[in-house]
Formats: sequence, structure tokens, C-alpha cells
Amino acid sequence: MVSPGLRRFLGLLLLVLGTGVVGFLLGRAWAPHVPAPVPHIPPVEDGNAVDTTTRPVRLFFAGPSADKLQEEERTIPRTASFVQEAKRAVEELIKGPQNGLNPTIPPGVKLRQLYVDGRGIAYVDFTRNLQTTHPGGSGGELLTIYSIVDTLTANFDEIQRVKILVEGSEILTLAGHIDARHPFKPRYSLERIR
Amino acid sequence: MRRLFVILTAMVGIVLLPKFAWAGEIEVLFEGRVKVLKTELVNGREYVPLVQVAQVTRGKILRDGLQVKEVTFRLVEDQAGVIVGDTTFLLSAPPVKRRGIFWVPIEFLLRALEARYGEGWVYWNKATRVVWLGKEQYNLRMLRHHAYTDYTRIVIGALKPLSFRLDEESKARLSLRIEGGVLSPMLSDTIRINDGLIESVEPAQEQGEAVLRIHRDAFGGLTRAFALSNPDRIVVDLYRAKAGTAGVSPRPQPVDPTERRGSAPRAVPVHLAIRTIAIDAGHGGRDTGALGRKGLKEKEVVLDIALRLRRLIQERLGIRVVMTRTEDVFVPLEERTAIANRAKADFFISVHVNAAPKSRARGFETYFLSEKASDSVARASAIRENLPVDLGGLRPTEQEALKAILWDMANTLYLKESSELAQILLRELDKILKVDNRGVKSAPFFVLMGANMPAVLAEVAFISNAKEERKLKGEAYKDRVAEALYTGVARFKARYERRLGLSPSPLPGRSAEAAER
Repeated sequence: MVSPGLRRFLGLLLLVLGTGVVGFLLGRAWAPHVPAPVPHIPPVEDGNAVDTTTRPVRLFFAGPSADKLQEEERTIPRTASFVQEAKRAVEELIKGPQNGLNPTIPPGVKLRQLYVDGRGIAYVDFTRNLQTTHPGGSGGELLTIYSIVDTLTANFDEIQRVKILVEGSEILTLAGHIDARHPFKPRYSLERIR
Repeated sequence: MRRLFVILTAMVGIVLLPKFAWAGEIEVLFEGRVKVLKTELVNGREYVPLVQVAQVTRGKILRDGLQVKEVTFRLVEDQAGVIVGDTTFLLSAPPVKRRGIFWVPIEFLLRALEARYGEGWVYWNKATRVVWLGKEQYNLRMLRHHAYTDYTRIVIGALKPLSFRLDEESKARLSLRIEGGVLSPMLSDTIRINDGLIESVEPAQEQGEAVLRIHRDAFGGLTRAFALSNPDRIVVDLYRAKAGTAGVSPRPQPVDPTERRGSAPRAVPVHLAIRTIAIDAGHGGRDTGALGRKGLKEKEVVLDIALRLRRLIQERLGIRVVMTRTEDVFVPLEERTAIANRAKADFFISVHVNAAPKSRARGFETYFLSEKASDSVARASAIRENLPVDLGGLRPTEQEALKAILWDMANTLYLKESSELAQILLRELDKILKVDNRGVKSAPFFVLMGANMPAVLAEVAFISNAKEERKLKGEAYKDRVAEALYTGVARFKARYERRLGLSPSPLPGRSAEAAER
């Protein structure tokens, strides 16, 4: 019923497929084992969590008179790396306050990347609209900057300074006032000097 | 026959595999040897194993990186930032680990080779895939230019400090001769600038020197050349020719032409009196600044107030006012203090209106740049960019050190005066405006950074507050704000001059100002 020619062809096909699969597996084994580039958005569900416990984070939002940052506590899942937790903290900051404080980051802004170097500087990379949709004003700009800086430094001992990036690049200022070419140290109060 | 087919198929299979890695080879020619490095593709980018980088650089593998001579490269898996000494550079892709061994993108190899053999000694030919190390290939690596309001700046990036001379060969042609300069292959063609001031720059490699011929199409303006370091640069500024003797640029004026209507008060030596005030109306042009809910634009309100303030100062104090802008144009932040520095203004006031999202905040506040706010890195770059003075006879490193001292001396003084000015302006705003006094604050304002003089920023109202936006639309409120700022300026001037009149020695602040040119 099956001609020897066809049988031969099928056999060959099977062999070919089989070799392909073996080649594939070999290839995968040989290729450097590279995790995908650090995911941008909630990395928490990506299996990195070592346990299911959570940790509290203190988020800094704008107070009613816009000259102070005020804290709101929230819990986030604990993960294997503090960098993942730091990302989550910034993402919570982006979501905005829940207890009557004012937001500091324009809606729609996304965190692209966050990494920390060996000197305790966190590089926090946002989408372009952090600049383009920022309402402006020195007051507003200071609140945005220091809410990010303070949130990261207050919760993660590994972070001492924070540099804000937009679309992967250094920025001069966020909204035309504050020099953002250098990493910021935390500033837990924006109160008057005199 | 069948075997051949199988092998072919397997090969096709391998080629089509996702993430499958083999990318190619790179030949590194060094010290008379050839070393072939195998590269692999990881997520579309070409990587080499750190071990092989260590071999060609004779570097030492560390637990978290590589050491080549005294240079330590610290790597963190999946983080593109590589820490080198006390700086960081970004790789195009993060290092990855495979069986405990780091793999790095190709540019890391080049950086590490440069650490071993020196920048300018490593040559990577992408087409032939050969990295070649030899004698210094070049030491002038790039040229960029930027047109400012009344001058054009040409910056030549160098790999080490080089001596240079700027000659005027004719009105239309200048030549910058760089002793021992070797142009990078990137700098072989004529660079067309055509910005109305400079037509082109023509690089030429001559014996023992590199020559950049600058062709001007507007002749005769002032020129200057100076060196900056870290990274080493040679800067040439070519100013627009001055019209007549008035010292006014022929283009729409950033500098106010009404030079000194009255004479300075007799109580103090004329050269120590306050003669020029710089007023900066925030934002402008494509930079709108903050917006009110009813659509009022910060750039318009602040220009209006700044122009009112200028009129009051000119009419009542009879002194010169320099504006960073007098119309709705975009002026880069660094250019604003540069305008004030060039005009040798005695102090700088930047006028802004404030905003804060979803807040009922209202009122005014004043800012100055405190020492605390500006960190040492910001400071170092401010010195470099704003004290481009040639301290004749000194080597670049000595110049750097002396400039830092001058800058610090001047800034200690400016800091005190800036905070005093901020305080006085706040007090006057408080007297005239019946809204919230938010105090004197300090923050690292970009626009105050490079000022060679006391400098403050006043946020006179919240445009994001509906009530204040309404007030800012009317004439009366803007007049009151201008009046308050004027009174503050007059008080500060009087106080400053009174103190000078009592003090027999000239102020150190003057030394920095004199050094600016």
C-alpha cells in the first residue's frame, strides 16, 4: 500500500526532523544561558519571588501645600533582588497616592529600566512623557524629583543617590529648572531655609 | 547521498535556531601576534567571553570584572552600566553570565584594550573584523559646533592636552594650529557650518601639526581660544562683529542697549557700584513653562513681569539692565547665565511662576543655589564651562587648580549675597502681595549654576492656582509683583554699596569677574 519510494521519503523526512530537533537542543545547550533583558513592567510575577512574604515600602507623595513630601506606607511582594523591589516601589509611586496625598508623577508615565551601580547610584529610566506631560513649575519639579529619590533611598540601603534618565538618556532638567545631570542625594524636606 | 542530505538539513536547522549563537571571529593584532576571538550572538548582539578579553589585554579576571593595568572594570550581570574607577560607562547591552563566566559586548573589548594600550591606539575595522593596535593613530577625535546668540563655539575633542595657536590669516580666514595634533580619519572632510557667522572649517594634516582653517562669512568679530580638560578639548569662540562702537550686537538684542542712563552713586568708587542687573524671564519659545488651568502660559506672564521690572529699574535707578530674552524665543538655560556673565552683570534675577499638580498651593518663594545643593561634580563642570580664562604661562593642570580656587572664593561670597538677595526680595513680595509667603529655599537650579555673580530665582505666584492665574491675567497684579521685585533690587543695591563704601578693600568677587574674560 505504501510504495517503497514513499516509505523511503517518509523515513528521510523523519530523520531530517529528528536531526533538526537534536540540533535545536544542542544549540540551546551551547548558546550562553541568557535571561531575557530585564523586564520593564511588573517583574514580580516572573518567578523571581523566593517566597510569598511581603515587605513594606514608604512612598513619598506631595503634601497638600506642595512644599513637603509626605509618606504613605504600602506593601509589595518580597523578591530575590532589591532591584526588583526598587522597580516595584517606583511603579507604586507612579500609580499615585491612596490616602489623600497628591501624585508627583504625571499619569501614563512608565518606568523603563532601573539599575543600580556598585557605588549606590540608582539609574531610573522613564518614558519620554515624564518630561512632555510634566505640569512644570519649580515646586512641581522638585516634588517629582525628590519623591522618586527619597522613595528609593529611604527603602533600599543599597541606594544612596539617584539619577533620573528619560528614554535611556541623561537629561538636563525634567521641566526646565533643576539640574538633573548629576545623581540626586535624598532630601527629606523641601522646607524653607528662612 | 542520504548522509549529505541529513548533514545539510541539520545545518539548516542550526542556522534557523532562535538565539543560536555563533556570530563570527574577531582578529586582534597585538604585539606581533594574532589572537582570534570567537564571538557569539546574544539577543542580537555580538558578545565575547571576558576570559578572552583578559588574554588580549593581559588583564586579571576579578570575581566581578576585569583589571587591566590600574583600571578596574566592575561588571554586574544584566546591568549595562560598567563601573570604571569612579565613573560609569554604559554598554549597548548588559554583560551576561554563562556557566559562571561573564560575556561582554564587543565595545567592552575595545574599552579594555584602550585601558591597556591607550585611547587612540586601538583601531577596530568593522568590515574586516580586525582590531589593530599600533602606534597612536590620532589624538584629535571630533569636532562639534554650536551657534549662540552672538557667537559660535567650535569644540575640538582631543585625547591629551595639546598646545595650539589661533592666527588670523585674513579677515575671512582664521587658522587654529594644533602642535602635534593628528586628526582622526573622521575629521578629514571640510565641515560646513553656514550659521551666518562661520561658513566652514577645513581640517588639514600638516607636518608636525593639525591645522583647522576657519572660514568666516561675517568678518571681524572678537575671537578667543582656550583649553578645557577632562576630557581634553580646545574651544574656539568666534563673536559676531560689533556694530559701530555702541557694543551692541546687530541681531535682535539679548543685551539691553540702554547703557547706563544715569551715573552711579557718588558714595562709592564707580567701578565698585552696581551698574548692571541681569533679568531672566523664565522659559520662552517652544518651552512654554507651566500652564494655568485657563490656559495662561508661564512664558508670557514672566516676560511681562520681567519687562515691567526692567522699566522700573531703568527709570528709577538709571542703571543698565540685561535681559536674557525680550520676546517669545527659546534661550537654552546655559546661555542665560552666559549672557549675564558676558555683560558682567552684578547680579542675576530669574523670574518664574510656580505650579504644582492637584494642589491648592499659592503664594511666592525665592530660591538660591546653596553650596549643599550643588555637588562637587556640578561644581567642577561649572568651573570648566564658566571660567574659560587663559591664565597665561601656566600648564593646564595648574590652571585647573587655580581656577577652582578662584571659583570657590567667588562662590563663597556669591552664596552669602545670593541668600541675602533672596531674603530681601521675599520680604518685599511679602509686603506687597497678600498671599502665602513660602519662604527662601535652595535647590540646584540649572539656570543659576553658571552665574559669575549672585543669582536668585523668584517664583512669584502659582499659575496652577485658579485664583492666582486670574490675578496674573490682569495688569495690576503684575505691576505689584514688578514693584516688589524692584524695591528688593533697590534695597539690595543700596545695602551692597553702603557696605562697599565702608569697606576699604575691593571685594574678592571682583577678581573672579575680572578673570572671566
